[in-house]
Amino acid sequence: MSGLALEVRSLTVDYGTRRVLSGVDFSLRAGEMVALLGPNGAGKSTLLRCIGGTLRPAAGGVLIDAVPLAEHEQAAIARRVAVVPGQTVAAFPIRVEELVALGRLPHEHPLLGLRPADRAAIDAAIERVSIGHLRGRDVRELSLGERQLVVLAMALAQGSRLLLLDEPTVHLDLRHQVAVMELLRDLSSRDGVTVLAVMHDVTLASHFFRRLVLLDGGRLVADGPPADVLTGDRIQAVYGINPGLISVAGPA
Amino acid sequence: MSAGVAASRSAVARPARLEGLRHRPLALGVVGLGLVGVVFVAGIALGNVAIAPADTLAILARRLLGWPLEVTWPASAETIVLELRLPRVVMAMIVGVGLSLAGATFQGLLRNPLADPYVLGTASGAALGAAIALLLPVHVALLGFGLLHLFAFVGALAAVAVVYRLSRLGALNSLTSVLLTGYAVGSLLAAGLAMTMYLSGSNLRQIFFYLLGSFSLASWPQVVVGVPIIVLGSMVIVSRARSLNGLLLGEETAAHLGLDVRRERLLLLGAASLVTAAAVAMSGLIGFVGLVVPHLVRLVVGPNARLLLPLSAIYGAAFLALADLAARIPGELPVGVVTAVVGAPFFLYLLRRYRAGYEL
Repeated sequence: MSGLALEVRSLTVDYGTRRVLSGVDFSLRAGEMVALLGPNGAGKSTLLRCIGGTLRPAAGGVLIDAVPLAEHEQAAIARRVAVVPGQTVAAFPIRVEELVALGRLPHEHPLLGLRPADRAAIDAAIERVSIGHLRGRDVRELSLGERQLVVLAMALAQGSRLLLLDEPTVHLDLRHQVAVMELLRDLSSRDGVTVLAVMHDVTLASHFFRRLVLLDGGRLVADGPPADVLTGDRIQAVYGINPGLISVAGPA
Repeated sequence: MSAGVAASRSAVARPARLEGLRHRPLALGVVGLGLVGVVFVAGIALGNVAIAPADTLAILARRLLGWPLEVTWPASAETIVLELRLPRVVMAMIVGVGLSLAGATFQGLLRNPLADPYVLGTASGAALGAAIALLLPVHVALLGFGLLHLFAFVGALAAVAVVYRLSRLGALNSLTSVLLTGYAVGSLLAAGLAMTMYLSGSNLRQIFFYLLGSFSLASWPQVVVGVPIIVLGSMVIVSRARSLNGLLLGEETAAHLGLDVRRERLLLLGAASLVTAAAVAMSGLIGFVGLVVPHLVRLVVGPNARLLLPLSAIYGAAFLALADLAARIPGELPVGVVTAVVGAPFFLYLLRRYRAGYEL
């Protein structure tokens, strides 16, 4: 089980002439749960895009289950990697269960559509995120936090072994923040899903993740357990704030 | 953003009757097919010379299915049914299928509720092509086809190709840039059309007739050439329902769900344009069908393309054949006028009723 689920090798990305990621290197073992931290503009979302296969790096590359991403077709990537985007998906009239069902797109039969196995995966995902009570609701009636949970369920329905999340707790209240964190931990420890989540809440991240990867200015500046990564000097240097404002604790 | 959410939240409530239908797409499909059948028979039976529905069915059964029925009708009835009305009804239905599917495709692809089959310059391209054909002193006609059909078909496809080429060069390939490019190219072609009409002299009436759309010249050769093109394009569209669903979520999410966004877009755009070009070449510019039918279906069953596309095709066929019937009973009105006169108020009524509860 301890094979490498994800390898990022000297990844470099340019937007026009601006370099947004330079030489980022790290890897995740299967079933590991890692938070990606860094100030705005550090390159976190760009990194997720590269791993999700929607952005081509200028140099370096990404390997998923030891196969270079470039060798996979988009549909094959989608069966291995699920992405929970940072911006909530466009709001148009669609029911919660219909939206979650779209997570099965990479598995759908081209003509038959959803088969019983797909329906089971949709039900399981809705159950897992505890949004059964929202099933028949129109997505536009939901709060931003509820929508975020629906999008998470859609990604879970995809059934991929690698889950990328862009700020999964940003619109959630405290109770749901903790619930989502516990769900991610459960996914990684019980189901062996590899989780990589961009986190802005450093305190929350240090509580729930055993390993943090810190980006700053497109470079990886630290990678390790919370206590090692989030030293006072580093918080001062990367975020430019008084480190006393952040309480760092090991995973509960 | 949150303001919009709050505004739409209260208005989402839909009448319970429609709500029930959403869960019975199959029933809607069966009802739609029944309607198509009724309109089919009515479209053949009614007209300047009415032919009893029983005779209509008997003629069709005898000639098309080879049933050995006794002939109790005049020979003229058979000619009217087989040579005039049958190709006309078939043509109206298949054009209705094509325009409705193309409209649903463009609306989903461009994520814009105002999109219709003509949004990327197809209409202007076809119209300009047809007008030029009418101005040329050459008169070629082969089995009911003339330069007009050819030029209109080529003009429509050329317009889309230009729009596609130009917008692909634009930054980020954004949907807005595609739409604006379509609008700009369409306007340019419309100016060309206006100039051609100005110069056309005695041909003006013919150009005008074409612009308004009609099935009165439908013939078997047209059906034989046009129908396969529309059927082929329609099959491509319906088979890509899955992609259309994914693309609704935006390009990035669609890619994360495994779609090759560029390829799917090109495929859908190509198929919808082909269908539209064939439709306008055969029957002129019939407005409103491609805009209204997909919206009506979406109001009832939601945006899932797996339901939206087949149901749009069925109801599009029924609607356009019915509109053609309404156009010919008072004595050959342009069918485009009928679709607009019937479609626009109905559409407005529905929009008022659902107002904020309906977005694409």
